[in-house]
Amino acid sequence: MSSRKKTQRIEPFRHRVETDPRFFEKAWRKLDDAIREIYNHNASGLSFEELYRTAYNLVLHKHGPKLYDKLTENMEDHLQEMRISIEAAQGGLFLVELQRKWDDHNKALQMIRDILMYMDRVFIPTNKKTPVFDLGLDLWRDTIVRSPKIHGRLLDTLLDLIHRERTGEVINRSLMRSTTKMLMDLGSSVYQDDFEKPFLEVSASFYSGESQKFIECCSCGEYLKKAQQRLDEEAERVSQYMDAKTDEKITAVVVKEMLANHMQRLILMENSGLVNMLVEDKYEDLTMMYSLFQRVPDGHSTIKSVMNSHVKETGKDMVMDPERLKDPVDFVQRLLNEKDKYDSIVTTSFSNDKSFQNALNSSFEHFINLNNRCPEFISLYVDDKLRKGMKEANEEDVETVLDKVMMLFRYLQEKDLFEKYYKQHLAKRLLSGKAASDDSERSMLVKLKTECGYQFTSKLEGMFNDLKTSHDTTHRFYAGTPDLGDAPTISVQILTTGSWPTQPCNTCNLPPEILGVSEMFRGFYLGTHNGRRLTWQTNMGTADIKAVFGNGSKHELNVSTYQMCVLMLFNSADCLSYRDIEQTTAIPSADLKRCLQSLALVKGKNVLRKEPMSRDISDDDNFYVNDKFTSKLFKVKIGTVATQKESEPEKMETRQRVEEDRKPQIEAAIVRIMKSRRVLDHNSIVTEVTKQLQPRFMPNPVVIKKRVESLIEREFLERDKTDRKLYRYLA
Amino acid sequence: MPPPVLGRHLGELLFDDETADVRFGVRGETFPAQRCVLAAQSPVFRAELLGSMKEHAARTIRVDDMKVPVFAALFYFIYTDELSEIYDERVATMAAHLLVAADRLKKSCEDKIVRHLDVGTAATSLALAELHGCPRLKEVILWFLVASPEKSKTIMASEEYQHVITDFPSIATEIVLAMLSANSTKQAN
Repeated sequence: MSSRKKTQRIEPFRHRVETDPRFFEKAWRKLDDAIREIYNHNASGLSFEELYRTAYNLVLHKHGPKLYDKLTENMEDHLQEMRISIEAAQGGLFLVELQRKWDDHNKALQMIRDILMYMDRVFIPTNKKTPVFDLGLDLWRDTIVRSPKIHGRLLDTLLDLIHRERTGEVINRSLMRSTTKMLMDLGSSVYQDDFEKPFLEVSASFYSGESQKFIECCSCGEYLKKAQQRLDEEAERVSQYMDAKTDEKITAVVVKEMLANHMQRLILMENSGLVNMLVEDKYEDLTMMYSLFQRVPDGHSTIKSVMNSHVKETGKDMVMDPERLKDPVDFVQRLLNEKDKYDSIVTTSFSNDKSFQNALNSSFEHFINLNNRCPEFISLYVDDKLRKGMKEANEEDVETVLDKVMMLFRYLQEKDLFEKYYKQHLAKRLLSGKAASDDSERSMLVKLKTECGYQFTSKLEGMFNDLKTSHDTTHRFYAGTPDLGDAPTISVQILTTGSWPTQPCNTCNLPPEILGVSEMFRGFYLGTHNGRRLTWQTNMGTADIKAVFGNGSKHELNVSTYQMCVLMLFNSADCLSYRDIEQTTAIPSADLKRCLQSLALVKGKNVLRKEPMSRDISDDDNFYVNDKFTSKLFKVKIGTVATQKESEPEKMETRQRVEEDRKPQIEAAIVRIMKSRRVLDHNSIVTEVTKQLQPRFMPNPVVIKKRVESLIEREFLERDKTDRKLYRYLA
Repeated sequence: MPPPVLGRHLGELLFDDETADVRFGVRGETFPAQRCVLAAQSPVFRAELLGSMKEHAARTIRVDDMKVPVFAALFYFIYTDELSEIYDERVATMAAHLLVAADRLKKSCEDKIVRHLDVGTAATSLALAELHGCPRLKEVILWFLVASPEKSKTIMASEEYQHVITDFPSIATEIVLAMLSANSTKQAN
């Protein structure tokens, strides 16, 4: 740069005035010729700088308007020539020629714009004219695309090609692409009005026809597959030769014609619709249905409601079927299997959709509570799993099963009823020594506690503690009591009365051998725990007896306490009548009859013989030891306290107790609510009480009303003087 | 982060022979240049040097209607974004020429013209301002014109001024209005 530093003289700038009257004409002629050369592909011989300068000077000297008008006229003329050439093209060459001329025009337009850049920048904005390039596009649109002879033909050609492609032909996609791109370049409204709108209309009627055809002959799964195919096809088509915004619109058309318009018919299709898919676990079809109907308004809600009805119906059949009710464990297993089935479906096909999961939950809750024996049965199921000798070998499997059972538990509306049964069953398990794994038992308690709170499980935990303490106490008894001689070994379980299911206390005279040792124990115990009272529960114990029969066979018999009392009598008598036995043992008659039945009338366990041989125990029967008794096993179990489902009368009794227990809970809830609210109307009380007690059970509004009246009688509440439906809390 | 050096490096390409792919012939003198640098700074150069007309293939491009120092100053601006200060005593004149040559220089040129405004250059500058759309410059000049009656007389007597009024009749009206408002302010004081 330094070598160029010359202090040259520069003359001051002089403003020059243009005086040539034909200045415009001459300048325009130059430009006119140049534009012609450009359209004839001869631009390379032109001097850009000269042309630019010419246009610049025109604008500078205020000839902008004239220049603009001349330019417009000029371009129109060139375009008219092009139009004629395009109209003349035959058949398939029509689009080709259109494309070729469009390319030419575009290239020319760019060069024209470049030459006229000054006008674009200075004249056009101030005079609010269309810029040169846009002007060129508008002229093309009006002269070519919307010319009467070309407009209709262009659209028809495009739609015809698309139709052919839809029916399987291969078409020239790049030509399609450049044509639609041309329309887009002319403005999105041109693309939409001159192509997209008619395209969508034609597509709608195409798919309307196609869907009609398919739905007559296809199964639901086949139809859905075809719909998915068409959707994919259209998306691909758009990506290949249409503007991206069309994707959404054509998808909506296909969805509407193929899916939305036939939604009910598809979902409810016999033998292949939703219900069939659910029943046969057709995961693929279900996945397709879920994803396709996601796009249809109300699609998912329709699927959900059809699924719900089906689940509720099959569930209802399952819980009300009298055959199924005969085996509680099997009954619950079926419920668990059903839950597993639907969980799989939701996970695999419905992408874990929470709303579907919730819908299933409410259906399950609905039908499980249709049968009020479910709480009992679920408890029996758990009992079965937690007993010794169960099928699941390892702890992990048991854990999984228990977790699944908890899911069913959550659906129960009468959780307090479940609690009662669980307590009963647990007591039997613990006392008969049948609880297989302490860890599993504890684990179940933790699950119940997590679900229902501390109160639910505190007594149950007490039961475990009692057994542990008892074990220690018995141990200390034997360690501390020196001489017991030949007395039979006893194992004592001391049950805290409140924690265990209440049992009626029956009379029973223990044999002297037992009585001695047990009284020593009582003395030992009360010595360290005075103020307490011990009552022997003779209906719950077991005994192991060594027996030698007349035929020489020796066996060890495992029997209940009652059975032991009866059998021991035969040590001092060969024959005893029913009345003798009743009198001596003082066992209540119903229990005694059951006991004798199991000793004398059960094949393989008939250690006693009854005369006369008959099916029932009558007051005049006589009993003898069965000297012909044999058994393959050395240890014979006769008195297993098996847990069975309750008989009808037992069931009634349990229910009654539960209802009784609910009354104070309802009252406590009413008092709690009224204490904080002071004044409340009847309906609100019912609502609030229900809300509070729902986790345990669903209170009956009639019962709530009775409790309110009882509380009024006992002056906890009073009725309002003017409004009979309003209640007031009395402090 | 080290300070940016791209601008300085591009500036060093000014009139660099080695990297040049085009040459400008200005009244006998030759200036080498790089097409892409010029195209990057001006859409007109872009269209000319990278377009499809003659200049695209030309090795040398002739420039006839610009003086060499003006051309050099213009190119200096293109390569460095700055108006060179080497021609201090002629800077107003230079600026006038450059105003014509390049729109983007406008603001810098306007400033220079204003700073060196005198009775000799007022009329021409007024024409420039009107023609090339420099409203600020126009406003300053009008103000200058009506500020002192002696100046007004001198300016309006010149031949330049007559050319200006012929080409831009509206300016006469604007000058009258400006004078009237200046007088009324004086009277108010």
